[in-house]
Amino acid sequence: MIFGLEFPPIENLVEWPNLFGPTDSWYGFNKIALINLVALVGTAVLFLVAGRQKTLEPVTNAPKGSRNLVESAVAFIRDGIIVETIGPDGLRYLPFLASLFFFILITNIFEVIPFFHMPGNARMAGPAVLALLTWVYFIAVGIKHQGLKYFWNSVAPAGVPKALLPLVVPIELLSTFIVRPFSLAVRLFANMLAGHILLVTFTVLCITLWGASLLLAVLPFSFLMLVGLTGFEIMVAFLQAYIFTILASVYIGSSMHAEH
Amino acid sequence: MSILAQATTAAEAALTAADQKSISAAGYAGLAYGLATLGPGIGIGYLVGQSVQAMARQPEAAGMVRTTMFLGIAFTEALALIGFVVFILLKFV
Amino acid sequence: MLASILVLATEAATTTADNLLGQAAGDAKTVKNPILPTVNEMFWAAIFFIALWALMKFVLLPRITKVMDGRTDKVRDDLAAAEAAETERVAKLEQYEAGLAGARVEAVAILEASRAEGDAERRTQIAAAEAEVAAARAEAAAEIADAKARARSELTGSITDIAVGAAEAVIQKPLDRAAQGRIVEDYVNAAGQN
Repeated sequence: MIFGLEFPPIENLVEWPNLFGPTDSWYGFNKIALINLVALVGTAVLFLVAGRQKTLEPVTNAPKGSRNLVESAVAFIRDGIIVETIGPDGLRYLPFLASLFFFILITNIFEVIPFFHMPGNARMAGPAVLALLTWVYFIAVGIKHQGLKYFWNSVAPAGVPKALLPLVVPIELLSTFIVRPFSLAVRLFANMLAGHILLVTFTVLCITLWGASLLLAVLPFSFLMLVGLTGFEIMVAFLQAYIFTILASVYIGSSMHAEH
Repeated sequence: MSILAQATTAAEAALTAADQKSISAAGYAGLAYGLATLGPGIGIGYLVGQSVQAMARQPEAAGMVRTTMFLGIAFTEALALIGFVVFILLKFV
Repeated sequence: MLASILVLATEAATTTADNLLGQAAGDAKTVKNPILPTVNEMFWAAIFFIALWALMKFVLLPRITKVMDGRTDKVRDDLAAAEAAETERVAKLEQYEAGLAGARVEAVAILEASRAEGDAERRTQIAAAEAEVAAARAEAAAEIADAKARARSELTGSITDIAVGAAEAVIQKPLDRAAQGRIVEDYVNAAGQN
């Protein structure tokens, strides 16, 4: 407690009671699950609305409205992420990467949506699941493209002298199969949790200053900071979705071809 | 910190060893996070500066440089984020 | 480098977490770790993400990419058509320019021919005019010479008369008129030559 400022304990910030299902059960449905559901439904509705097609008009005319939005996003994932990191033969991974991008973007953006004010990825569960799926996916792609030699190719890069192999193999093993999913999950999770705590801090500060007599002069600055940080967090939400997707794309791309 | 310890000498007897450890961990959490930001801060600054220079020299390669820059930032930032996670663990758990 | 640091950090984090968790378990109230994922959230996240992935793969994305590919194809076709039209235009332009060049050569030829014709016409007219002038001049010259000769002979006669008369008056004796006339004529001729 500083100057009457009482910061709530962290479990009050990120842990939500179940909407249904008993506490601590494996199927308890809480706010985070609701946000994930909205990410699924929202993306599906957006795509369905954008993709409705009665005539040939969308082909012959420039896209507009929701179609324009979705097509820009898909073109961004296709040209800005996949073609840049994997190349044209990575286009078959577009569904996975597009799902990642939209799912993470929408769960992140709930950080600033009124009445939710909680990024779905500020809990470790979402990032952990996505990182785990990415991990399984890039290993599966590696096995599909290089067979079981994939594991050896990925831990022993070509061109390394044989004498160095005992040193290189454990490091590469760790960095490829353990650090990759771990850092993917932690990066997303920690960014969103940090943003959430930042916003909560300034909100609590604003509320506390409202009742303070002398410190009321600080309130406008605190409030402006809160507004500015909200804009910043929207940018972070987009950037983290982009970074997660592009890293997944890089990992998948590195599994497709043995490193030279 | 020493003043605080002297002030609470009477209450200290009531604290268990685990409580004391938790208090000192919370005290050092901020220091741990501060240290964890130093390296990545310098690293990201250098990385973005060099990328801007590269983009200014070769504007036609800006797209490629930007993609690589974001990848580099992601890798560098991971260290600071690990520091943040350790901070949360020390401070709140 | 990154790998080793990350691993060290993970170890540190997990040991701390384990210690604190163990300590928390010892206490009466259980403190949940805000870092560790909870099973129910993982379950729902996995369900919803895999549902989104499947939907994206089979329903959502094909409808979008079909239109995008259709547009790309259409743009490519239109570009090809535009290219063909451009080639045709260039060919037509070349044809036209060839025609234009022929016409220009022809025009130059016509111009040259008319200029030559005009020149010839002018030259003949000038020649005719000059001949006319020369004829007129010759006629005038003949007339002048005629007048001059007539004047001279008249003059010679009268001068001879005057000179012979004067000489007869001086010497008081008639002179041979014919001989004196020759002398006077010689003088007049000499004077006319001077």
